[in-house]
Amino acid sequence: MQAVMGQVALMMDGRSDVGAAGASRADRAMDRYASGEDAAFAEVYDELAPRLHRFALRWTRSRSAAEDAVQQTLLQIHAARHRFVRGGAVVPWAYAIARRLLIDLGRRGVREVLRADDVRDPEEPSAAPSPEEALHHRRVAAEARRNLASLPSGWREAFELVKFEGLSVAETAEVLGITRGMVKIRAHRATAALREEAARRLHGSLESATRPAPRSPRDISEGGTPT
Amino acid sequence: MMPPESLKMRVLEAVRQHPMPRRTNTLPFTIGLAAFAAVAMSGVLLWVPSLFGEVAGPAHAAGRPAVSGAWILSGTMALALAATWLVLPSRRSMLSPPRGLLLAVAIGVPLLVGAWLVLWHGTYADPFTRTGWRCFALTALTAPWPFATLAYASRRLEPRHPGTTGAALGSVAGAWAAVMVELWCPLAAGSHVLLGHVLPLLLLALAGSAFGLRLFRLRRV
Repeated sequence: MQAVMGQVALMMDGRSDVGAAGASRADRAMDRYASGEDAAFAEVYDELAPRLHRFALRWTRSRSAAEDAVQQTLLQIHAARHRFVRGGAVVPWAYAIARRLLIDLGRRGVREVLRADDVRDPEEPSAAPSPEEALHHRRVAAEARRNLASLPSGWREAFELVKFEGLSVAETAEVLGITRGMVKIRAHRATAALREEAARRLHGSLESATRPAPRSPRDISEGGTPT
Repeated sequence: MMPPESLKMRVLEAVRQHPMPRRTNTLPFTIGLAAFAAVAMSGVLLWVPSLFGEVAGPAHAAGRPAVSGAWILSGTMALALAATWLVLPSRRSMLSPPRGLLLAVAIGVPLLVGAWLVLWHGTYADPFTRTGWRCFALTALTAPWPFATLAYASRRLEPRHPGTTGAALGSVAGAWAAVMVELWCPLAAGSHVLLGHVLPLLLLALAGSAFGLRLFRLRRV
Protein backbone atom coordinates (compact mmCIF):
# COMPACT_ATOMS: atom_id res chain seq x y z
CA MET A 1 0.00 0.00 0.00
CA GLN A 2 3.07 2.16 0.17
CA ALA A 3 2.72 2.29 -3.52
CA VAL A 4 -0.60 4.12 -3.10
CA MET A 5 1.03 6.89 -1.12
CA GLY A 6 3.90 6.94 -3.57
CA GLN A 7 1.47 7.35 -6.41
CA VAL A 8 -0.30 10.20 -4.65
CA ALA A 9 3.02 11.95 -4.18
CA LEU A 10 3.92 11.41 -7.81
CA MET A 11 0.56 12.67 -8.94
CA MET A 12 1.17 15.90 -7.12
CA ASP A 13 4.14 16.33 -9.47
CA GLY A 14 1.88 15.47 -12.37
CA ARG A 15 3.76 12.26 -13.13
CA SER A 16 3.07 8.56 -12.90
CA ASP A 17 5.67 5.82 -12.64
CA VAL A 18 3.52 3.32 -14.48
CA GLY A 19 4.43 3.09 -18.13
CA ALA A 20 2.05 2.18 -20.91
CA ALA A 21 4.65 0.04 -22.64
CA GLY A 22 3.36 -3.24 -23.99
CA ALA A 23 0.03 -1.95 -25.22
CA SER A 24 0.97 -1.85 -28.88
CA ARG A 25 2.83 -5.16 -28.63
CA ALA A 26 -0.31 -6.69 -27.13
CA ASP A 27 -2.40 -5.30 -29.98
CA ARG A 28 -0.03 -6.68 -32.58
CA ALA A 29 0.13 -10.07 -30.87
CA MET A 30 -3.66 -10.25 -30.66
CA ASP A 31 -3.93 -9.26 -34.29
CA ARG A 32 -1.58 -12.08 -35.26
CA TYR A 33 -3.53 -14.50 -33.07
CA ALA A 34 -6.84 -13.46 -34.63
CA SER A 35 -5.30 -13.89 -38.07
CA GLY A 36 -4.56 -17.53 -37.33
CA GLU A 37 -1.13 -17.62 -35.67
CA ASP A 38 -1.93 -19.86 -32.69
CA ALA A 39 1.45 -19.39 -31.02
CA ALA A 40 0.80 -15.65 -30.66
CA PHE A 41 -1.61 -16.27 -27.78
CA ALA A 42 1.32 -16.94 -25.46
CA GLU A 43 2.58 -13.48 -26.33
CA VAL A 44 -0.88 -12.01 -25.70
CA TYR A 45 -0.78 -13.71 -22.31
CA ASP A 46 2.69 -12.38 -21.53
CA GLU A 47 1.63 -8.83 -22.40
CA LEU A 48 -1.73 -8.80 -20.66
CA ALA A 49 -1.59 -11.20 -17.73
CA PRO A 50 0.83 -9.27 -15.48
CA ARG A 51 -1.17 -6.04 -15.87
CA LEU A 52 -4.52 -7.74 -15.40
CA HIS A 53 -3.19 -9.72 -12.45
CA ARG A 54 -1.98 -6.55 -10.73
CA PHE A 55 -5.32 -4.86 -11.45
CA ALA A 56 -7.33 -7.81 -10.15
CA LEU A 57 -5.12 -8.26 -7.11
CA ARG A 58 -5.55 -4.63 -6.18
CA TRP A 59 -9.30 -5.03 -6.58
CA THR A 60 -9.81 -8.32 -4.77
CA ARG A 61 -6.77 -8.66 -2.46
CA SER A 62 -6.99 -12.39 -3.04
CA ARG A 63 -4.51 -14.32 -5.15
CA SER A 64 -6.96 -17.05 -6.11
CA ALA A 65 -9.69 -14.57 -7.11
CA ALA A 66 -7.19 -12.49 -9.08
CA GLU A 67 -5.92 -15.56 -10.91
CA ASP A 68 -9.47 -16.61 -11.67
CA ALA A 69 -10.26 -13.17 -13.07
CA VAL A 70 -7.14 -13.17 -15.24
CA GLN A 71 -7.87 -16.68 -16.51
CA GLN A 72 -11.50 -15.80 -17.32
CA THR A 73 -10.50 -12.57 -19.05
CA LEU A 74 -7.97 -14.30 -21.28
CA LEU A 75 -10.40 -17.10 -22.10
CA GLN A 76 -13.04 -14.53 -23.04
CA ILE A 77 -10.52 -12.90 -25.35
CA HIS A 78 -9.70 -16.29 -26.83
CA ALA A 79 -13.41 -17.07 -27.29
CA ALA A 80 -13.86 -13.83 -29.24
CA ARG A 81 -10.78 -14.47 -31.37
CA HIS A 82 -12.69 -14.55 -34.66
CA ARG A 83 -14.42 -11.25 -33.85
CA PHE A 84 -11.31 -9.25 -33.05
CA VAL A 85 -11.21 -6.35 -35.49
CA ARG A 86 -8.11 -5.73 -37.57
CA GLY A 87 -5.95 -3.14 -35.86
CA GLY A 88 -8.15 -3.22 -32.77
CA ALA A 89 -6.98 -2.22 -29.30
CA VAL A 90 -6.88 -5.24 -27.00
CA VAL A 91 -5.80 -3.55 -23.74
CA PRO A 92 -8.95 -1.49 -23.01
CA TRP A 93 -11.07 -4.43 -24.06
CA ALA A 94 -9.22 -6.77 -21.70
CA TYR A 95 -9.50 -4.32 -18.81
CA ALA A 96 -13.22 -3.84 -19.51
CA ILE A 97 -13.77 -7.61 -19.40
CA ALA A 98 -11.70 -7.99 -16.23
CA ARG A 99 -13.54 -5.12 -14.56
CA ARG A 100 -16.91 -6.67 -15.37
CA LEU A 101 -15.80 -10.04 -14.01
CA LEU A 102 -14.54 -8.37 -10.83
CA ILE A 103 -17.77 -6.41 -10.42
CA ASP A 104 -19.74 -9.64 -10.78
CA LEU A 105 -17.47 -11.26 -8.24
CA GLY A 106 -18.20 -8.39 -5.85
CA ARG A 107 -21.94 -8.67 -6.47
CA ARG A 108 -21.80 -12.29 -5.44
CA GLY A 109 -20.50 -11.07 -2.09
CA VAL A 110 -17.02 -12.47 -2.61
CA ARG A 111 -15.24 -9.16 -2.62
CA GLU A 112 -15.96 -8.26 1.00
CA VAL A 113 -14.61 -11.61 2.14
CA LEU A 114 -11.58 -11.32 -0.07
CA ARG A 115 -10.86 -7.79 1.12
CA ALA A 116 -10.27 -9.23 4.54
CA ASP A 117 -7.57 -11.57 3.26
CA ASP A 118 -4.11 -10.52 4.25
CA VAL A 119 -2.43 -10.15 0.90
CA ARG A 120 0.37 -7.71 0.36
CA ASP A 121 0.16 -4.95 -2.19
CA PRO A 122 1.67 -6.20 -5.47
CA GLU A 123 4.10 -3.28 -5.56
CA GLU A 124 5.09 -3.39 -1.90
CA PRO A 125 8.82 -4.09 -1.34
CA SER A 126 9.47 -7.61 -0.13
CA ALA A 127 12.41 -6.79 2.22
CA ALA A 128 11.36 -7.27 5.86
CA PRO A 129 11.23 -3.89 7.67
CA SER A 130 11.87 -3.30 11.37
CA PRO A 131 8.84 -3.67 13.70
CA GLU A 132 8.49 0.15 14.05
CA GLU A 133 8.69 0.62 10.30
CA ALA A 134 6.24 -2.19 9.75
CA LEU A 135 3.78 -0.61 12.18
CA HIS A 136 4.20 2.79 10.58
CA HIS A 137 3.78 1.34 7.10
CA ARG A 138 0.70 -0.53 8.18
CA ARG A 139 -0.87 2.61 9.61
CA VAL A 140 -0.02 4.66 6.55
CA ALA A 141 -1.23 1.89 4.30
CA ALA A 142 -4.49 1.53 6.19
CA GLU A 143 -5.02 5.29 6.03
CA ALA A 144 -4.26 5.44 2.30
CA ARG A 145 -6.51 2.47 1.63
CA ARG A 146 -9.31 4.10 3.60
CA ASN A 147 -8.86 7.37 1.73
CA LEU A 148 -8.90 5.62 -1.62
CA ALA A 149 -11.85 3.44 -0.65
CA SER A 150 -13.81 6.44 0.61
CA LEU A 151 -13.72 8.03 -2.85
CA PRO A 152 -16.84 7.63 -5.00
CA SER A 153 -16.39 4.47 -7.08
CA GLY A 154 -16.42 6.39 -10.36
CA TRP A 155 -13.58 8.65 -9.26
CA ARG A 156 -11.60 5.77 -7.77
CA GLU A 157 -11.85 3.63 -10.89
CA ALA A 158 -10.74 6.43 -13.20
CA PHE A 159 -7.89 7.29 -10.81
CA GLU A 160 -6.70 3.69 -10.51
CA LEU A 161 -6.79 2.99 -14.23
CA VAL A 162 -4.94 6.14 -15.18
CA LYS A 163 -2.47 6.33 -12.32
CA PHE A 164 -1.88 2.72 -11.30
CA GLU A 165 -2.54 0.82 -14.50
CA GLY A 166 -0.95 3.38 -16.76
CA LEU A 167 -3.81 3.49 -19.24
CA SER A 168 -4.23 6.60 -21.33
CA VAL A 169 -7.28 8.80 -20.85
CA ALA A 170 -8.75 7.45 -24.08
CA GLU A 171 -8.20 3.84 -23.00
CA THR A 172 -9.67 4.52 -19.57
CA ALA A 173 -12.70 6.11 -21.21
CA GLU A 174 -13.15 2.93 -23.24
CA VAL A 175 -12.78 0.66 -20.23
CA LEU A 176 -15.32 2.61 -18.18
CA GLY A 177 -17.65 3.42 -21.07
CA ILE A 178 -17.59 7.16 -20.45
CA THR A 179 -16.24 10.15 -22.35
CA ARG A 180 -12.60 11.27 -22.16
CA GLY A 181 -13.65 14.52 -20.57
CA MET A 182 -15.43 12.64 -17.82
CA VAL A 183 -12.31 10.53 -17.17
CA LYS A 184 -10.24 13.69 -16.76
CA ILE A 185 -12.80 15.22 -14.42
CA ARG A 186 -13.06 12.10 -12.26
CA ALA A 187 -9.32 11.49 -12.05
CA HIS A 188 -8.76 15.15 -11.21
CA ARG A 189 -11.39 15.12 -8.49
CA ALA A 190 -9.95 11.93 -7.00
CA THR A 191 -6.48 13.46 -7.03
CA ALA A 192 -7.74 16.65 -5.38
CA ALA A 193 -9.61 14.68 -2.71
CA LEU A 194 -6.58 12.49 -1.92
CA ARG A 195 -4.30 15.51 -1.85
CA GLU A 196 -6.66 17.32 0.48
CA GLU A 197 -6.83 14.31 2.76
CA ALA A 198 -3.03 13.93 2.76
CA ALA A 199 -2.63 17.63 3.59
CA ARG A 200 -5.20 17.38 6.38
CA ARG A 201 -3.39 14.38 7.84
CA LEU A 202 -0.03 16.10 7.61
CA HIS A 203 -1.48 19.19 9.30
CA GLY A 204 -2.97 17.00 12.03
CA SER A 205 0.30 15.21 12.72
CA LEU A 206 2.19 18.53 12.88
CA GLU A 207 -0.34 19.82 15.39
CA SER A 208 -0.02 16.72 17.54
CA ALA A 209 3.79 17.02 17.42
CA THR A 210 3.66 20.57 18.88
CA ARG A 211 1.28 19.55 21.71
CA PRO A 212 2.76 19.11 25.23
CA ALA A 213 3.79 15.55 26.07
CA PRO A 214 1.22 13.48 27.97
CA ARG A 215 1.86 13.02 31.66
CA SER A 216 0.80 9.45 32.19
CA PRO A 217 0.61 6.20 30.21
CA ARG A 218 -3.18 6.44 30.58
CA ASP A 219 -3.13 9.67 28.53
CA ILE A 220 -1.17 7.93 25.82
CA SER A 221 -3.60 5.08 25.54
CA GLU A 222 -6.54 7.48 25.43
CA GLY A 223 -4.96 9.80 22.90
CA GLY A 224 -3.32 7.16 20.72
CA THR A 225 -4.60 6.17 17.36
CA PRO A 226 -6.37 2.84 17.48
CA THR A 227 -4.69 0.23 15.35
CA MET B 1 3.79 -9.43 -8.31
CA MET B 2 3.73 -11.58 -11.44
CA PRO B 3 1.04 -14.18 -12.02
CA PRO B 4 2.32 -17.70 -11.31
CA GLU B 5 3.64 -19.83 -14.12
CA SER B 6 0.96 -22.43 -13.33
CA LEU B 7 -1.71 -19.91 -14.38
CA LYS B 8 -0.07 -19.52 -17.77
CA MET B 9 0.04 -23.29 -18.16
CA ARG B 10 -3.64 -23.55 -17.23
CA VAL B 11 -4.72 -20.81 -19.64
CA LEU B 12 -2.65 -22.08 -22.55
CA GLU B 13 -3.88 -25.63 -21.97
CA ALA B 14 -7.52 -24.46 -21.92
CA VAL B 15 -6.94 -22.53 -25.13
CA ARG B 16 -5.32 -25.56 -26.74
CA GLN B 17 -8.19 -27.84 -25.72
CA HIS B 18 -10.92 -25.50 -26.99
CA PRO B 19 -9.62 -23.98 -30.21
CA MET B 20 -11.56 -21.07 -31.68
CA PRO B 21 -11.77 -20.22 -35.37
CA ARG B 22 -9.53 -17.52 -36.79
CA ARG B 23 -10.86 -14.14 -37.88
CA THR B 24 -12.76 -14.02 -41.13
CA ASN B 25 -13.91 -11.06 -43.15
CA THR B 26 -17.42 -10.36 -41.86
CA LEU B 27 -18.16 -7.44 -44.18
CA PRO B 28 -19.71 -9.47 -47.04
CA PHE B 29 -21.97 -11.29 -44.57
CA THR B 30 -22.95 -8.01 -42.88
CA ILE B 31 -23.82 -6.47 -46.24
CA GLY B 32 -25.78 -9.59 -47.16
CA LEU B 33 -27.64 -9.46 -43.87
CA ALA B 34 -28.46 -5.77 -44.39
CA ALA B 35 -29.75 -6.53 -47.89
CA PHE B 36 -31.86 -9.37 -46.53
CA ALA B 37 -33.21 -7.07 -43.81
CA ALA B 38 -34.19 -4.49 -46.45
CA VAL B 39 -35.99 -7.18 -48.48
CA ALA B 40 -37.75 -8.54 -45.38
CA MET B 41 -38.87 -5.05 -44.35
CA SER B 42 -40.19 -4.38 -47.84
CA GLY B 43 -41.99 -7.72 -47.71
CA VAL B 44 -43.67 -6.75 -44.45
CA LEU B 45 -44.72 -3.43 -45.96
CA LEU B 46 -46.15 -5.11 -49.05
CA TRP B 47 -47.88 -7.98 -47.30
CA VAL B 48 -48.94 -7.08 -43.74
CA PRO B 49 -51.28 -4.12 -44.58
CA SER B 50 -53.41 -6.44 -46.65
CA LEU B 51 -54.05 -8.42 -43.45
CA PHE B 52 -55.71 -5.26 -42.06
CA GLY B 53 -57.72 -4.88 -45.26
CA GLU B 54 -55.61 -1.90 -46.30
CA VAL B 55 -53.80 -0.92 -49.45
CA ALA B 56 -50.29 -2.33 -49.27
CA GLY B 57 -47.09 -0.50 -50.16
CA PRO B 58 -46.38 3.18 -50.79
CA ALA B 59 -49.69 3.60 -52.67
CA HIS B 60 -51.36 3.88 -49.27
CA ALA B 61 -49.62 7.23 -48.72
CA ALA B 62 -50.95 8.72 -51.97
CA GLY B 63 -53.02 11.34 -50.09
CA ARG B 64 -49.86 13.02 -48.74
CA PRO B 65 -48.16 15.67 -50.90
CA ALA B 66 -45.13 14.17 -52.61
CA VAL B 67 -42.79 16.94 -51.46
CA SER B 68 -43.82 16.52 -47.81
CA GLY B 69 -43.43 12.76 -48.15
CA ALA B 70 -39.96 13.14 -49.63
CA TRP B 71 -38.88 15.48 -46.83
CA ILE B 72 -40.31 13.24 -44.12
CA LEU B 73 -38.60 10.19 -45.58
CA SER B 74 -35.24 11.83 -46.14
CA GLY B 75 -35.25 13.37 -42.66
CA THR B 76 -36.05 10.06 -40.99
CA MET B 77 -33.48 8.27 -43.10
CA ALA B 78 -30.82 10.84 -42.19
CA LEU B 79 -31.71 10.34 -38.53
CA ALA B 80 -31.49 6.55 -38.88
CA LEU B 81 -28.12 6.81 -40.65
CA ALA B 82 -26.70 9.18 -38.05
CA ALA B 83 -27.95 7.01 -35.19
CA THR B 84 -26.46 3.89 -36.80
CA TRP B 85 -23.12 5.63 -37.16
CA LEU B 86 -23.26 6.70 -33.51
CA VAL B 87 -24.09 3.34 -31.93
CA LEU B 88 -21.75 1.03 -33.81
CA PRO B 89 -18.26 0.62 -32.31
CA SER B 90 -15.51 2.68 -33.88
CA ARG B 91 -13.21 0.94 -36.34
CA ARG B 92 -10.37 0.26 -33.87
CA SER B 93 -12.47 -0.61 -30.83
CA MET B 94 -13.95 -3.82 -29.54
CA LEU B 95 -16.29 -1.86 -27.27
CA SER B 96 -19.43 0.20 -27.76
CA PRO B 97 -19.46 4.00 -27.53
CA PRO B 98 -19.83 5.71 -24.12
CA ARG B 99 -22.94 4.91 -22.15
CA GLY B 100 -24.19 8.52 -22.20
CA LEU B 101 -24.16 8.54 -25.99
CA LEU B 102 -26.01 5.21 -26.16
CA LEU B 103 -28.64 6.45 -23.72
CA ALA B 104 -29.05 9.66 -25.71
CA VAL B 105 -29.64 7.61 -28.86
CA ALA B 106 -32.00 5.16 -27.12
CA ILE B 107 -34.20 7.96 -25.77
CA GLY B 108 -33.53 10.67 -28.33
CA VAL B 109 -34.25 8.77 -31.55
CA PRO B 110 -37.93 7.98 -30.78
CA LEU B 111 -38.53 11.55 -29.68
CA LEU B 112 -36.78 13.03 -32.71
CA VAL B 113 -38.68 10.75 -35.10
CA GLY B 114 -41.93 11.87 -33.47
CA ALA B 115 -40.98 15.54 -33.48
CA TRP B 116 -39.92 15.39 -37.13
CA LEU B 117 -43.27 13.88 -38.15
CA VAL B 118 -45.36 16.28 -36.09
CA LEU B 119 -43.39 19.18 -37.58
CA TRP B 120 -45.03 18.37 -40.94
CA HIS B 121 -48.52 18.19 -39.51
CA GLY B 122 -49.34 21.81 -40.31
CA THR B 123 -48.08 21.66 -43.90
CA TYR B 124 -50.83 19.42 -45.28
CA ALA B 125 -54.23 18.07 -44.27
CA ASP B 126 -54.19 14.40 -43.28
CA PRO B 127 -56.13 12.37 -45.88
CA PHE B 128 -57.93 10.48 -43.07
CA THR B 129 -57.73 10.00 -39.32
CA ARG B 130 -56.70 6.85 -37.50
CA THR B 131 -55.56 5.90 -34.00
CA GLY B 132 -52.25 4.34 -35.02
CA TRP B 133 -52.42 0.64 -34.13
CA ARG B 134 -51.65 -0.37 -37.72
CA CYS B 135 -48.51 1.73 -37.76
CA PHE B 136 -47.64 0.31 -34.34
CA ALA B 137 -47.93 -3.25 -35.64
CA LEU B 138 -46.02 -2.48 -38.85
CA THR B 139 -43.16 -0.89 -36.91
CA ALA B 140 -42.99 -3.84 -34.54
CA LEU B 141 -42.87 -6.29 -37.46
CA THR B 142 -40.27 -4.42 -39.53
CA ALA B 143 -37.82 -3.60 -36.70
CA PRO B 144 -36.46 -7.09 -35.86
CA TRP B 145 -34.67 -7.36 -39.21
CA PRO B 146 -32.49 -4.27 -38.88
CA PHE B 147 -31.99 -5.15 -35.21
CA ALA B 148 -30.50 -8.52 -36.19
CA THR B 149 -28.20 -6.81 -38.68
CA LEU B 150 -27.09 -4.19 -36.17
CA ALA B 151 -26.53 -6.80 -33.47
CA TYR B 152 -24.32 -8.73 -35.87
CA ALA B 153 -22.46 -5.62 -37.01
CA SER B 154 -21.70 -4.65 -33.44
CA ARG B 155 -18.99 -6.79 -31.83
CA ARG B 156 -21.54 -9.00 -30.02
CA LEU B 157 -19.66 -8.84 -26.72
CA GLU B 158 -20.19 -5.84 -24.48
CA PRO B 159 -18.83 -6.33 -20.97
CA ARG B 160 -19.66 -2.82 -19.71
CA HIS B 161 -23.28 -2.03 -20.52
CA PRO B 162 -24.99 -4.72 -22.62
CA GLY B 163 -28.47 -3.48 -21.73
CA THR B 164 -27.82 0.10 -22.81
CA THR B 165 -26.15 -1.10 -26.01
CA GLY B 166 -29.19 -3.25 -26.77
CA ALA B 167 -31.54 -0.35 -26.04
CA ALA B 168 -29.67 1.94 -28.43
CA LEU B 169 -29.64 -0.74 -31.14
CA GLY B 170 -33.37 -1.28 -30.58
CA SER B 171 -34.02 2.41 -31.04
CA VAL B 172 -31.93 2.58 -34.20
CA ALA B 173 -33.69 -0.49 -35.59
CA GLY B 174 -36.92 1.35 -34.81
CA ALA B 175 -35.68 4.35 -36.79
CA TRP B 176 -35.07 2.15 -39.84
CA ALA B 177 -38.52 0.62 -39.34
CA ALA B 178 -39.93 4.15 -39.17
CA VAL B 179 -38.42 4.89 -42.60
CA MET B 180 -40.34 1.95 -44.04
CA VAL B 181 -43.56 2.68 -42.19
CA GLU B 182 -43.53 6.31 -43.32
CA LEU B 183 -43.45 5.06 -46.89
CA TRP B 184 -46.88 3.64 -46.13
CA CYS B 185 -48.43 6.01 -43.58
CA PRO B 186 -49.46 9.51 -44.70
CA LEU B 187 -50.58 10.76 -41.26
CA ALA B 188 -48.77 13.33 -39.13
CA ALA B 189 -51.34 14.18 -36.45
CA GLY B 190 -49.86 14.35 -32.95
CA SER B 191 -51.95 11.64 -31.30
CA HIS B 192 -51.42 9.23 -34.22
CA VAL B 193 -47.68 9.88 -34.26
CA LEU B 194 -47.41 9.32 -30.51
CA LEU B 195 -49.20 5.99 -30.51
CA GLY B 196 -48.23 4.63 -33.92
CA HIS B 197 -44.68 5.95 -34.36
CA VAL B 198 -43.13 7.03 -31.05
CA LEU B 199 -44.50 4.43 -28.64
CA PRO B 200 -43.29 1.42 -30.67
CA LEU B 201 -39.81 2.92 -30.86
CA LEU B 202 -39.73 3.38 -27.10
CA LEU B 203 -40.90 -0.19 -26.63
CA LEU B 204 -38.30 -1.38 -29.11
CA ALA B 205 -35.64 0.34 -27.00
CA LEU B 206 -36.91 -1.56 -23.96
CA ALA B 207 -37.03 -4.84 -25.87
CA GLY B 208 -33.55 -4.13 -27.25
CA SER B 209 -32.31 -3.63 -23.73
CA ALA B 210 -33.66 -7.04 -22.69
CA PHE B 211 -32.14 -8.67 -25.79
CA GLY B 212 -28.86 -6.85 -25.23
CA LEU B 213 -28.59 -8.24 -21.72
CA ARG B 214 -28.91 -11.73 -23.12
CA LEU B 215 -26.92 -11.30 -26.33
CA PHE B 216 -23.99 -9.11 -25.39
CA ARG B 217 -23.27 -9.87 -21.75
CA LEU B 218 -20.22 -11.78 -20.65
CA ARG B 219 -20.69 -15.49 -20.22
CA ARG B 220 -18.37 -17.59 -18.13
CA VAL B 221 -16.27 -19.80 -20.41
